[in-house]
Amino acid sequence: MKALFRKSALLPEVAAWVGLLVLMVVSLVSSYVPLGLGNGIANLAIAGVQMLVVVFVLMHLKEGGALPRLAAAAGAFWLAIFFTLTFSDFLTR
Amino acid sequence: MTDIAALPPTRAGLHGNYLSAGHTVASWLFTTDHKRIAILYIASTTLFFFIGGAAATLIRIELFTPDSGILTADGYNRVFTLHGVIMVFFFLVPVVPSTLGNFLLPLMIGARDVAFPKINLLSWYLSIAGGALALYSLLAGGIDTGWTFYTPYSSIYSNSFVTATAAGIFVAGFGSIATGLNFIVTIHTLRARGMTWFRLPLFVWSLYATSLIMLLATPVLAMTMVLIIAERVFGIGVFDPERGGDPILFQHLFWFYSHPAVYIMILPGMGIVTEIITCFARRRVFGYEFMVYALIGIAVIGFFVWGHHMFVSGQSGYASLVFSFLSFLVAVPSAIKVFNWTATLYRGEITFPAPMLYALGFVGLFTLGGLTGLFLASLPVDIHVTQTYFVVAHFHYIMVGGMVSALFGGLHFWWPKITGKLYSDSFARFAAVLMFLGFNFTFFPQFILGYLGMPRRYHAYPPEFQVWNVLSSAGAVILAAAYLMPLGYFAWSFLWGERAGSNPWDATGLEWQTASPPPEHNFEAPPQVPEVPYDYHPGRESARD
Amino acid sequence: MTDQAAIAEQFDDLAQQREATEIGIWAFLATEVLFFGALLVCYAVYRYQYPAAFLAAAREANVVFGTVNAALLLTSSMTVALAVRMGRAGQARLSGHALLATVALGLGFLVVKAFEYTGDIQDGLFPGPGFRLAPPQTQIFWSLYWIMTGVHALHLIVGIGVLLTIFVLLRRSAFDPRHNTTVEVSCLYWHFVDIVWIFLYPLLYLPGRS
Ligand SMILES: [Cu+2]
Repeated sequence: MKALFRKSALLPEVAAWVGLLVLMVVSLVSSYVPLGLGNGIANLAIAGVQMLVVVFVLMHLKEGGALPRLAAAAGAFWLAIFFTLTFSDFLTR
Repeated sequence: MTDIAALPPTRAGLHGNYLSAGHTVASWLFTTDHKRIAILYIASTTLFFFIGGAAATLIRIELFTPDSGILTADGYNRVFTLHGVIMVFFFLVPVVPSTLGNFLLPLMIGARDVAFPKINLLSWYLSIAGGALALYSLLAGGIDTGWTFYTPYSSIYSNSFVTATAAGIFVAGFGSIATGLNFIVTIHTLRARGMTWFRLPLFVWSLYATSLIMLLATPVLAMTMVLIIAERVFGIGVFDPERGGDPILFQHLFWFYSHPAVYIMILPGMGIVTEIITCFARRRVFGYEFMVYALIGIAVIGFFVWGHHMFVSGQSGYASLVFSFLSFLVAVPSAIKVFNWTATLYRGEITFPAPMLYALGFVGLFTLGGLTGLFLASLPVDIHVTQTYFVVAHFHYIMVGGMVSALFGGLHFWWPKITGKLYSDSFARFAAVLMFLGFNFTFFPQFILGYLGMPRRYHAYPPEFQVWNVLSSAGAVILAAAYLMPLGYFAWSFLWGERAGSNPWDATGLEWQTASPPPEHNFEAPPQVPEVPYDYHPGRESARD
Repeated sequence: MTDQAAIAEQFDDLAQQREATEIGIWAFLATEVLFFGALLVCYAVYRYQYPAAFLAAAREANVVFGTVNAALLLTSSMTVALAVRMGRAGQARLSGHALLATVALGLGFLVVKAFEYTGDIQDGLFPGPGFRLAPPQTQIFWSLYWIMTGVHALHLIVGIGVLLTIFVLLRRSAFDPRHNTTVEVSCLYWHFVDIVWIFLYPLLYLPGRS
């Protein structure tokens, strides 16, 4: 275990971890500041950034081939279709 | 074109074939050979087909007379739900990818197996487990919600076995996802040398497009089933109107899967038909690239149109407008395909063995089903015929007329490859014609019934509709005979049929270059693909196209 | 130098096998996105329809437990990424240690979650007859809470099982992590489970605090 800690100092993974925790705290604190609709938007924007950190730094999506990126993009794209067309109903009721 | 006779004859049969590789029950139940798994699927989906068919028989008997006949109103609800659930989720959705797809995909791309053979076997067990749950609910008393499970009836009020069925669909859904995943990875990574993307047979492309839908739509259905189960079992529902739950939201979730599921059912059929038509027209397929783009286009645009099932649900008028427009859009790639099949036939040297008859039947029935789909995509007409037999007839033309014709065509086309035996072509051609006639006889009257206003899902109806219902029921008898016939001559062929050579149709494609039935690892030597697909007259057509 | 035994018969070489498993896991994750996506759509629709009820309901969620769990999972995402790095470098032992740390963090999450669930139930936050909040739309939020966190916890349990198995295999030197993508593939799944929580946290715990 000790060797694990020694070897891992200052690796990108550790930097990402620090960043993720900082973002989490920012999100938490911001939710106690009255911003109206802004609260939800800020929370979700921060979550989006956290996701990008995990996906690109920790999951090494950048290093992989084109196909993993395509698969990830497909998931995002189809989710976007799902949201857009469902809300085409609810937003226009 | 590679001549099979040019291959060293001693190699074929050296290691026996996949059928002779083991005769114990365990050798089947624990196999990871994609060909044997395909056979397992053929057995299980055939069983489900006949269970669903039995329910259809009860429906047609009940509708023979206007008043209540053999079934009560409640019994009728349970029977048509059973018919829908079994046919859609346990037959139509899995059948072509898991049977012919499983068998042929590795052969067609020159691979030894799919990318994840154990997951492939797992898929079969999941589909069996799911089917067992659905059959359990059938034996326990059935369900009465319709195959669409609309809430809040399904989630709160129905006293039937919704939970077990929903769980069955959930489990089988993961079998379907695993199959799609396997196919996509296989096509990406295991193509033989020289098998570039634009040399892939169109059946492989159709499986690719289908797998895409399986991967991206099925999980939504699975979660929808989870939500129904959670509401029924734990009371933590999100569709309960008393708490503000919105039944229309359920319909969005359900149709996000279930419209694309129509393409899960029909796309592989299109692939089969393309293979058959090019072979028996002895012509290269017209507009290969367009066929590819049309398949992918249908798969993608198919996700944009689900709201056309909800025009009268209370969905906003604006959304209906958008979904109506997008539904017209998806007709374009489908029309391209029909056009290209026709153009492939043009000036071909056409012969009409059984597979070709089934394929041509598919084109006709699919076209009629597709055109009536345009009626339903247009808002005003749809409002007139919503929930009538017009809708029933429309989707049966696509799914049964189209899809089952294609499946039978494919089975007849590749039967010699799968079993190594020939069947009686005259019997098969008779069955094909019978199926086409019986189908139209059964379902065309339903267009008329629907247009006249007969609603679906009722066990009794006003007497003036009886003529058309009697016609439909009579047609169903013919259709049933056409479905049962192959059981006879296929069994005969398997036991006593003449040996088929490796390539009885003189077709192109890698699957015809190995022995029939294929050896355990498909090819004795790694195949190479030096030419474009469907090169029936090397040198002649390439100059013209 | 590559051991033939590590290659399944349907593949020609290790590179092909690696590519296949990599595409496979990403395709699976795309499926998972849509699986949770259905829940997110429900959440979004209802939050849009009943904003006040959702804020009032979310205020009752235990933000301390939620935050602790978010921190635990974010940390586990780091340890699991380290397991991949060590594995790629051929340091199977260190990789195993990182996996064990990840499992411990995951178990910690579940323990916290168990306390939280108990508290929620005692608090009358399970929809149904004993539900404490009004208006009725708050029950929609809490239904989603239970389903979302429940499905997520099941994913986490699966992840713990997978990582433990790999840990044992690494201990027995059953495979060489340099040539085998097992570690990487399972770790990608773990990251996904973490990402789900990254979104559940602000959706379930943070609204209505200001
Ligand atoms: Cu549709």
